[in-house]
Amino acid sequence: MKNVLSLCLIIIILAFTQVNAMGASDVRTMNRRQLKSLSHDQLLDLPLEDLVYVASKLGVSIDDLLDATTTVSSKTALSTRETPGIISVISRQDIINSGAQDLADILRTIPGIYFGYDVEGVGGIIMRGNWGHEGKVLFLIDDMELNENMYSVVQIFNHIPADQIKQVEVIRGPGSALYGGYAELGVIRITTFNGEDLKETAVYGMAGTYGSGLNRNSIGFNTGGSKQNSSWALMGTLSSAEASNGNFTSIDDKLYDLQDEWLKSNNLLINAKYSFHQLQAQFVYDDYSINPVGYGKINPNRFRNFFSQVKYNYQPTDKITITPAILYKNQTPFWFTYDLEDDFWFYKRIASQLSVISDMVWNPLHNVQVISGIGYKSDSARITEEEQQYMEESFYNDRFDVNHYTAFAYAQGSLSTRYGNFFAGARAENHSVTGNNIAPRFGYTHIYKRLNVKYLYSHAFRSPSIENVNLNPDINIERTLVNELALGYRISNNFYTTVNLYDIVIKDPIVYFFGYEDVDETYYNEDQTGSSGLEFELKAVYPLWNASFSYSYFDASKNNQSDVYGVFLPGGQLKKMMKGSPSHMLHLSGSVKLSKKMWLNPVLSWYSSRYGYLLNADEQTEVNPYMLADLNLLTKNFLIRNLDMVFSVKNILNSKYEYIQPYGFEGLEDRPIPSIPGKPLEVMLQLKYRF
Amino acid sequence: MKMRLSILLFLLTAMTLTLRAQSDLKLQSIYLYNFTRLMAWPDGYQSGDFIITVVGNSDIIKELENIATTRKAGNQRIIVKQVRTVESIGQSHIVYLPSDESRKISDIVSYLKSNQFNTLLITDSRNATKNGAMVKFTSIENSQKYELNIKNAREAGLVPGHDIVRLAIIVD
Repeated sequence: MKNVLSLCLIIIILAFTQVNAMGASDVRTMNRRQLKSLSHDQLLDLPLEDLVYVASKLGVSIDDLLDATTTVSSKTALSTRETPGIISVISRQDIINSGAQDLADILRTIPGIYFGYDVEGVGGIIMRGNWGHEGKVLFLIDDMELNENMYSVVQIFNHIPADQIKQVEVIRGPGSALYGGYAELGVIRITTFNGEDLKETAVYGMAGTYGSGLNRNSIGFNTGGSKQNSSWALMGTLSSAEASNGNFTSIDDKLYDLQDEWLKSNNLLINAKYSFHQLQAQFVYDDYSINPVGYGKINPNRFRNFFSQVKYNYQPTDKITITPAILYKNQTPFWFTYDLEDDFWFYKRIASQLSVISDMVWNPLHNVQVISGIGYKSDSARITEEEQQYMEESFYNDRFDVNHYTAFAYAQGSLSTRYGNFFAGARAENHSVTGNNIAPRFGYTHIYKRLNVKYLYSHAFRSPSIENVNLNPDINIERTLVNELALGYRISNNFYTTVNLYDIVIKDPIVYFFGYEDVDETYYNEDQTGSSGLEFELKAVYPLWNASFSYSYFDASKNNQSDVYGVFLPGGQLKKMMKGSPSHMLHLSGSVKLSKKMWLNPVLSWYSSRYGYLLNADEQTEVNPYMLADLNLLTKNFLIRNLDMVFSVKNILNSKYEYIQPYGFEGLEDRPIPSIPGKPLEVMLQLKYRF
Repeated sequence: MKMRLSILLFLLTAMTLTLRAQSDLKLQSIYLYNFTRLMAWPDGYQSGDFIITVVGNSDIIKELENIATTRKAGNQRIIVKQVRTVESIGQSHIVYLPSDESRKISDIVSYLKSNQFNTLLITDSRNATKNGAMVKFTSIENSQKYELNIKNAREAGLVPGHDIVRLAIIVD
């Protein structure tokens, strides 16, 4: 620990030495304080060139955030105040400032988002209190679906390196009308760098410690470039992270030391892009593995994914843009070999999906826009020959392969008038197993001077995935209805606040059940679940600093009728909560520009208590509230030109906290479901060199 | 110890909430004043008052009026005019359209063209230069900059000066 503290001290001293090396003389060499003291007349007398320089040192406002355009909820660029969705946009600068390493780090301070864990220690997303991990939240990487098609999950911890991400847009509500199935509770749209962004090559690495040894690390490169009509990008990142330095007690009461690589995860992400005129092609290889506990010896559980797409932007007239695309993904999720003393279990099934999609944006009038699309998806899965050799299992159709098909069409019209923007749309799908389904959506947004208002009414549905159907051929589609109302107020040029209310009802949710005695797993449609609540945000932006405060709250007592997700006290009293999820969350984050090369970025989060069947299977245990505090120091051109450094101390308070499985069955085989400890105090150093 | 650290962190972040800085609108108004000097209007616009028209409500009006009290556009007195409807714009050297009023941009462009006014249309609303505006204020990497659509300017009979072009983000 002494060594760690000494290292911190040295880095901070070096960084401040860099700051104090600055000098000043005329407008070009004045520091910001001197520039700020220029009188109005002096500014008016400046040549335009100097004014541009001064502007680069002054002037940012809340408009930078509010006018940041987002396409995630409308597929065309709209400002965050106008777009028909409750949206969070995390910019590249936000990502750097937060010291984020992976998707979970990036999403951590988004109101309403929390994490839990699933079987095999795989981390998943909770959205507004609801367990969204199993296909209820759509994850997109450059518009390609990350969710795997066997179980529909996305692994959230130590997955998708932040170093390749340019921006993340989050819809904290349904997006099914535009995106289809998985976008039931939310959409996480990740945009990675392209050739225009990567005008130079960067190599980077990160090392983090929980107090002894190297507990988290990554290494990678980004390169790319662009010419007049073409661009290319190539990125590769390899990362490794231990879940914590604590112990994990398994269902069968065995103790696992998490520093012995139990629950350690690894991720390799290779991302290649090429564009020529309006043609774009991309290939992503994503290999994720985690070492689950409970099996006597370490057997990684692997998720291997290939994603690819080719699309073309065709603009026959000024008013129409048509984007045909072909997407292909090939995924091998939950690939494992459990060679135990008394049992042998092997799973290797490959799911692939070929999608042919054509989107169109049509602006018939200056205030009318129609976006629409049609598409066809062919899903196929097969039990590999390796698995066939070891296991005597086939799919529900008594074959080693299965095929599902989906044809869909969607359309959304928007009309902008002086009374606001009106949106109406729907998505219709025909699925080979579940038949015809439709998800309508209506929205209204309006900016009136400093005030903006949004009302959104959205239906969503999720067709069962391949394993959902395989484990229960009678499984039905689940449906969701969400109402959202948001009010925003631009307090001044630098402050903006927004509050939104939501009500989510999920009917016939598809729930996973695992019986340990018989090693029997299935899916079934549970009783209604859902939540209602509010999210509040206050943002401030100034040239020297910015800050963001958020509070989120949910209450499940009205919409949740499911024992599986709900929290029940002895005697059956229903709590307002959902398993594994804090009802109250507070986030306070900021960024202070210390010099032209240095930013200090504190993050503070507080989570209320959570419940789960942690100690016994008959009664849920309350886990205490906790607080996380991080400090990140970003220094550009650290020691040498083009070397950027982020020095982070995460969980400064060394708070003990844990992630809980957000679903469970009372009294199930007398087996409690232990929690997984979160990360302790962590000291991390990231370096990036550009050339 | 935990409590102290928590309080320290809260104070650090809360402290930042008390700071103040200059607004973007002040910078935009000074840019606008620079444009009066560096943009060439046709002969008929080089005498009489120099009219800057602001559509709708915007705090930039105060900033521009402040400039107009002490400065001139060459030899011309600067007049800042506020209008609420497109038809009230009249002959102006510059029209400033705040983002709150961006839905009027097509009507304004049509109005200026149909009346053959040589007017510099400036705004900070999105997609403005694609819809006919000549200058759009934008923030890039925490810095207030401006986009310039030269084609739109020339179609309006305006000739951007060398410095305006050189320092602009040129858009089509």
